[in-house]
Amino acid sequence: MRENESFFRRQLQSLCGLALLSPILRLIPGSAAEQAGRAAWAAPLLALPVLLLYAWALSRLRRSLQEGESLPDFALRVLGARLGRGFLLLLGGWLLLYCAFTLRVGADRFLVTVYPRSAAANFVIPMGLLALLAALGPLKSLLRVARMAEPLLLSVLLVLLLAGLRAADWTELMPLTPADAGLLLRGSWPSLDIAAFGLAAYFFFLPGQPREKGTFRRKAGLLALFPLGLTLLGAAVQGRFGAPLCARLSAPFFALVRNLVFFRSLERVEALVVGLWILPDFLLTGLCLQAAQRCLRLACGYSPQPEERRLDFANGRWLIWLGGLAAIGLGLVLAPEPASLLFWSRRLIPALSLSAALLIPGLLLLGLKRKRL
Amino acid sequence: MKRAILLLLLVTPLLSGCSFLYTERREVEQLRLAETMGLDAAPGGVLLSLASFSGAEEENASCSSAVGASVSDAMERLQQRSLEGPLFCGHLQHILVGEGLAREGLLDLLSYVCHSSDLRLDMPVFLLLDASAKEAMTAVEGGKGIADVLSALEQAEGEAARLTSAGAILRNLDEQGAAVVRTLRLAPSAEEGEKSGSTVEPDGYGVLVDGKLRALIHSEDALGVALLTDTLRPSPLVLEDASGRRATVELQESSCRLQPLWGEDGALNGLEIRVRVQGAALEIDDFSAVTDPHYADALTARLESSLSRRIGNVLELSQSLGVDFLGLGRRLEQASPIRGRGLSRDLGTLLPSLRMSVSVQGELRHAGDMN
Repeated sequence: MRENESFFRRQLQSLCGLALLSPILRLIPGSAAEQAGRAAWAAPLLALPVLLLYAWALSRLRRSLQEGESLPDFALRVLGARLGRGFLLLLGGWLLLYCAFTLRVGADRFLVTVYPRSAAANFVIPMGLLALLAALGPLKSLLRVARMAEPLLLSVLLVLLLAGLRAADWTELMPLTPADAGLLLRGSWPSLDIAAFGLAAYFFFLPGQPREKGTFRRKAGLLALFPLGLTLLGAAVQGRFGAPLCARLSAPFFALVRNLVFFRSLERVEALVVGLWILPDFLLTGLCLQAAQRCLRLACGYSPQPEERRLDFANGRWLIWLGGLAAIGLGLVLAPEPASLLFWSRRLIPALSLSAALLIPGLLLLGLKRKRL
Repeated sequence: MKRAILLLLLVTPLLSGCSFLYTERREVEQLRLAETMGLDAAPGGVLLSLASFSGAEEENASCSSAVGASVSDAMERLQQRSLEGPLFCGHLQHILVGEGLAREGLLDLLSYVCHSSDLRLDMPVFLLLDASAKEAMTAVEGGKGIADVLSALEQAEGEAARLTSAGAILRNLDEQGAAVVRTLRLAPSAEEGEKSGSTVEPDGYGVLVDGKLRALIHSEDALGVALLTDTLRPSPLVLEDASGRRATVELQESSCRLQPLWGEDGALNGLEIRVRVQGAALEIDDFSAVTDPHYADALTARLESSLSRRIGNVLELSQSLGVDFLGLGRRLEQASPIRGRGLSRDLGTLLPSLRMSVSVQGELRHAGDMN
């Protein structure tokens, strides 16, 4: 049993970690460079203390959950039926919006880097249907995909990172002085935002997460690797293009990949890398839809079960279809212009994501306190 | 799970470009592979030229052009008019810009490079003086034409080529407000007889301010740019010794050190530039004079004086324009992070009022068997 739990935790960690690769390559270092200029690459390091604090708070809160309970069940229990349902509808709506945005921005990555003459719908619809398929099935299928994709994605990322760092111009990264502290702080928001979503997903969104003592201590070391990885990624891209150019490019990481030449002969591998990044998009959209369907079904008074048949419409499962199709529809109409997509990508979604990351534990804490009183 | 995998396999062809779904698929033999992009000013827009060769036959180089309101518009027109096959720009290697367009401004072009899915930011940009890019692209023949010549130039430039890549120009324009771009001139080729024709040869640098060509640094002073930016590559320099005889020195290595002079109020008052150069005497009319230490000292003094003048000319231009196209501010900021904070951006405005002093220390070694 203990071995199974550990295996589940490992799978969940893979799912949440890999799903974050999608926003990471969208926001780092472009958004950070916009905020922090030359200090952008080092800004994720400053996010570490806050992240550790946030993870500690979530792990403490997690201990209040009962066995097998996820955030939606917990919300209904502590906030009461009416407030809990409102909270779940809001959370479900946010997750669907995030799913739709991920579909749209994933399509844009293809349009910007490989298929400029294509239409966003060609990518939004297939990916949306795949995410819907993942949401219709059991959570364990999505977890297994994450475990299988992990070695491939991480090794590709590592190779690209090393090649990028090798070609980096260090004068684009230094000097940093105490006067840059304010910029560093501003530049750490994107990293905080990304990690907060990942932590919330790990601890709360899906059923069956670890709730025993010591989880935080075990994960703290791993969590410290996250800002370190983002720092190296930022250094590789910013070292190649400089902060102003990074802020100007819509996909600086993929621009870096386009410029890499391996063994003086192998170049233009960005199409392969962009193709591979379907996997993080799939995991993120699948994760969002899985969590959203649970929220919406609980809010509507249904009781989701761990084992359900994929094409069964009973027990509110029609809401999964509705949610999936709504996300696809929204993904098709959302931010049609590059300028508006940039606004969504660098302003609106991070702001909403960070607000959600703060509001979720905040509301639950309030609910817990009220219950105890 | 099996059904999920099956569905995944069925859906993935939608994204992969498989021929039965992706109808724009082309075999490489059907394509014209563009290697050099030329851009000139044209009434109401730009004249875009692409030097390309057939994917099936490398020797079949040709140049096609179209005028458009913008670079992307001209590219679209060129694609529509291409009779020899679809143009593929994914392997474009160089951009050649006519002087006229550079004077009008290159920001549109650089923005196109930034946002195009075909072009790489590392592509070197060359500026052609006294001729249009199209003229050069059609005049240079043999092999893959202009692409071969520009590739050879890029290789010869080594690290210095990165100074003038599209990405570096954009970055420097953003950070310093100015950048340099390598200039070329059309010249008769070295081959004689049937193979004689035209080629392009390096000249100096063009100075871009706010994206527009504002000044030229000609071939003689180009060495000053190389010394100030630490991008010197081995190159010969012809001097006159004290007796008026020619002596050729090969410049091999150099290093440039900047010493800021701070005022009591903490403001930057001046700049001391110390350059060390190592070279070797290659060709000297009076062979026996090489072993004479007085002769070597005198020749070294001539070398130092010649290099000081070139460096001085480049700095004078930078001061008169009031822009830091050499990236001196960034180097000062690297050296003094606290006091020099912001100089990478602001040095240009300070330059006209700064006291500048240049000192060059030369070291001449005897080449090969001349010891």
